[in-house]
Amino acid sequence: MLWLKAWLETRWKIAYAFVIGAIVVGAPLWAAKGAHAGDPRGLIMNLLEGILFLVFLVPIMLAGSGIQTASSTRPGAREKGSAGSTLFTLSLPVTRTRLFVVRTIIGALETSAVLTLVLIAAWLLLPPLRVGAHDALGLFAVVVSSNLFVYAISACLSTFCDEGWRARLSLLVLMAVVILMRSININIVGLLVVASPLFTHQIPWMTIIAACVFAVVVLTIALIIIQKREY
Amino acid sequence: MSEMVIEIEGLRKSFGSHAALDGLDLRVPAGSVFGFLGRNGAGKTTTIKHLLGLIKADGGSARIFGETVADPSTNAGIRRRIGFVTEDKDLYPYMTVDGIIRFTRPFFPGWRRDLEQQYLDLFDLPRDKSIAKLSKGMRSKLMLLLAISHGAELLVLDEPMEGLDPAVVEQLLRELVVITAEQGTMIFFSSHQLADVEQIADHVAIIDAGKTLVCGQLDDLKMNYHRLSVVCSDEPPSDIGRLDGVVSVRRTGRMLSMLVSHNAEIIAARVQQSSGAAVERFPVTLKEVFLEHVGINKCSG
Repeated sequence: MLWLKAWLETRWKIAYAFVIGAIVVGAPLWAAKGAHAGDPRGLIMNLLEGILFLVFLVPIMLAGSGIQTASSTRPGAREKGSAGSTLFTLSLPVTRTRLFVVRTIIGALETSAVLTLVLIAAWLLLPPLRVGAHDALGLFAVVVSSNLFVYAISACLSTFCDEGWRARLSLLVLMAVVILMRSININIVGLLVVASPLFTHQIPWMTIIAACVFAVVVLTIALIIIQKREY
Repeated sequence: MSEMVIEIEGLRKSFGSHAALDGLDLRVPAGSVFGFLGRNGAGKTTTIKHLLGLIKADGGSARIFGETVADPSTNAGIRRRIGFVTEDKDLYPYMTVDGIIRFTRPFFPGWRRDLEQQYLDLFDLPRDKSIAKLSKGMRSKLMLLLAISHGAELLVLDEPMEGLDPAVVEQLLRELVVITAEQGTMIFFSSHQLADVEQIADHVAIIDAGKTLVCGQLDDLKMNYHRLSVVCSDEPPSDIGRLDGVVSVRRTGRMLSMLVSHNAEIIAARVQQSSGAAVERFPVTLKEVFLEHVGINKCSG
């Protein structure tokens, strides 16, 4: 039943994410459709920039709710520092590891699902984007691994920040991590735009694996924090 | 000696420089309705949170049903046998009454649908009502329903009557008595509402500044504690406050009033001998014992 709780907590955010996805990806594509009629590269660049925005935004929107975030029936309770319904959740006969793992998997699936559906919608609506299976698989792998990379950071921050601070800190930490990773040639931002498999026609496995390993390490740190945290 | 369900020895917990628990000792016997008393900030909620594995102690030990609560591998098993009602009574606002019942049910193999329906009817809780729209009193009832229906052996209630109107308090107190009688459920509840405690508890502990001041059966406490009163013609013996059993001494003019926890007869005889006046002995209420122990009424003339 923990999956149901996770779903109920984020279902409206998923709806918002879809709306934002439609606007962020759809509007530039629509505007650029005529301008780039003979140049699919410009259209693809617009799509990738939209997806890059979503890859950063959607995980930050959807990560976090769960055992570590206060959800209160009383208006303003979180501002007063109340643990809210977290105490009820933690009083259930479930280990913190299970609570965290279920919440994290559901959140990661939700964010991946939103981005996948946006990609499918773009592919269906815009014929120039109907690239070969190899390139499409490459783009999908890059988007999902980048999504996990961002999600892990936001989920980790949610173990000790409330919703408002988590979103702000996620952006700051992401900027710092992206700059750091560029310096060691693991460039997630570049992969999503200029070095995309749609242009290079190669799947950057090493960077994808690095992003996934990074996500697992950060989520493990988050789990350790959850185990040690006091409520 | 009866089996102990909760055993706490020398529990210590500090938040920064503030010692919330300072060597707390507690023994809660099986089958009891245990009132856990203390002022705000005395350490009641910290103790309960430790029992549920929500915080870790700096020292000492705590066991429930013989299992160490600090061990994460056993704590989930302990929670399966416990029903917890939080101080805030916060549940998931995005669920309905029926939704949270269906959510909670699978965690407890011994869930009793008959009790679920019985308490839904008794507490007049509509299944389709959103939790966000329930009053605090209704949420208290819902939390109690969830705790009872899963067949908890021990109910841990943190300030269950806080913020509720007298009618709801009366109904909840009555139901707690019924639950104990019919289901054999033990109840451990924290409160600073002394009248509520006196109404249903058979055992009490009074804590202050993270230490246990009194712990025992309520009847024994009422039997052993007395107020001694005497009108002194001369100065009372100077060492009177140091006699074994004297909790507090108060002097107003020639009137000397003492709260004693035991040895009332010996102390009365000693005072009578030195003052030459007859000593009157009065029974005391839990409120008097509480106030004297936590220092609110402590003063000497």
